[in-house]
Amino acid sequence: MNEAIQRIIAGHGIAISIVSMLIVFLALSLISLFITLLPHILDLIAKVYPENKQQSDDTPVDDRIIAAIGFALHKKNFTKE
Amino acid sequence: MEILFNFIKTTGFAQLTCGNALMMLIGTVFISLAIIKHYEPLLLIPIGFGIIVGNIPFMESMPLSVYDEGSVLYYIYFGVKEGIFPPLIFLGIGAMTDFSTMLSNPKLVLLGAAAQIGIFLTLIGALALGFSPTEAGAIGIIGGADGPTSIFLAAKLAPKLLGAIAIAAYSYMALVPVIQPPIMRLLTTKKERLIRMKPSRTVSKREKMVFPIASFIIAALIVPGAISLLGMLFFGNLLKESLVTERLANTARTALIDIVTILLGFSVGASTQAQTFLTNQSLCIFALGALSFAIATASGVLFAKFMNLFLKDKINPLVGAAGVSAVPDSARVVHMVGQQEDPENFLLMHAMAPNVAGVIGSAIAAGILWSVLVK
Repeated sequence: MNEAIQRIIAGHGIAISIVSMLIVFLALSLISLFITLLPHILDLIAKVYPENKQQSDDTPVDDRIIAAIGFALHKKNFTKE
Repeated sequence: MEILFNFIKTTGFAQLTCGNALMMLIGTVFISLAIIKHYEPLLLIPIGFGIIVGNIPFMESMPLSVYDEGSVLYYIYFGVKEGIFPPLIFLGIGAMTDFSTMLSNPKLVLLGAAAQIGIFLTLIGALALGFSPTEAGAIGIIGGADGPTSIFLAAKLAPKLLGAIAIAAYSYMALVPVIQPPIMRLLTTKKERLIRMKPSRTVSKREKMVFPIASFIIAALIVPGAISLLGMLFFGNLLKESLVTERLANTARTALIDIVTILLGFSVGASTQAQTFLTNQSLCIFALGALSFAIATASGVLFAKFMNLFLKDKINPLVGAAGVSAVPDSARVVHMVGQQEDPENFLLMHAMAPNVAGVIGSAIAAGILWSVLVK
């Protein structure tokens, strides 16, 4: 047991682990923070360069597709075979 | 007659050892698991068949194995040995990954960081068992549950252990549906498993385009050692999200990743010759890999519970288990375990957020270990 602990100490195991874990958290926290701020940054940019609506995911789904999905679900759930 | 006897001596039958036979059996088990149980067939079939190929004995004077300069397998294995294939796989992963769920719920990124604890606790365990610091680092990364990252780091830090580490990493990735659920159930209450999360918001195209560039700059400036893995991952994602390089993105996520997966899986399998693979060290690596994977899963779940102490909109702690980066298997497992409690609870998309964050996290961890441990 003592030998194992000595090996960990000699290999700087604890220090490497703690420092590395902190760096992983730091890097991902910064990415997370950036993602949180990104919509606000883009809103500011959009005032100068408005987003092309054709490239946006917010484009409403075609009413015909919604009607087709509704019809298929209705047929599946309420139509007796 | 003498020619015949000499020929018989050169056959595999004459030189076959019990170790070779055992390895061929292991290769057959891999193939069977892939075909019968559908455990990661794209990986286990090339690896399994590679194991069989690598364990056919032959005359020493014939350059045939992955270790014999001049053999065909040697040149294929070059991509593994020099760490070329893993970044190419990351390119394909980037081109097929949709980061929307992560972008819509940034706090889940932290679960991808928490699950990397397994890597570093295993590093400590490997040091305790007598592995050198570089070997311990290469073994620890198995806990990232990311085959390409494990191969990349092992090639840089402990080339001798590459075969065992690669097989362990891919085996545990394939066994995600077996290893993770008991740990997830053990660490959560029924009430927690029933938590329903808010639907994700819609993410704009601009967000998706800016994300890979900015995230790469942030991560690479902190950990330059992760440049090749993260660079390719985010480059692949930019190809997908830029909307103007669809042809390139399509090649990266289909033909390119398939070719590299075949070459990588097959040559890694062929590198597991019984004489070099069946050692006590390999057994230790497998044991440590399992431990690493279990700790990673547990850390993700426990960190999600910890985050819930501070959050108004609670996270289903099962989602934390997807912080290990086995994409998309661990997310699927989270979804499956969640649905066993509540068939109307759809956790898949929520689990994809820590899952892809885990890919980034394990690449960052690999970069750190490489920077810290390389001599």
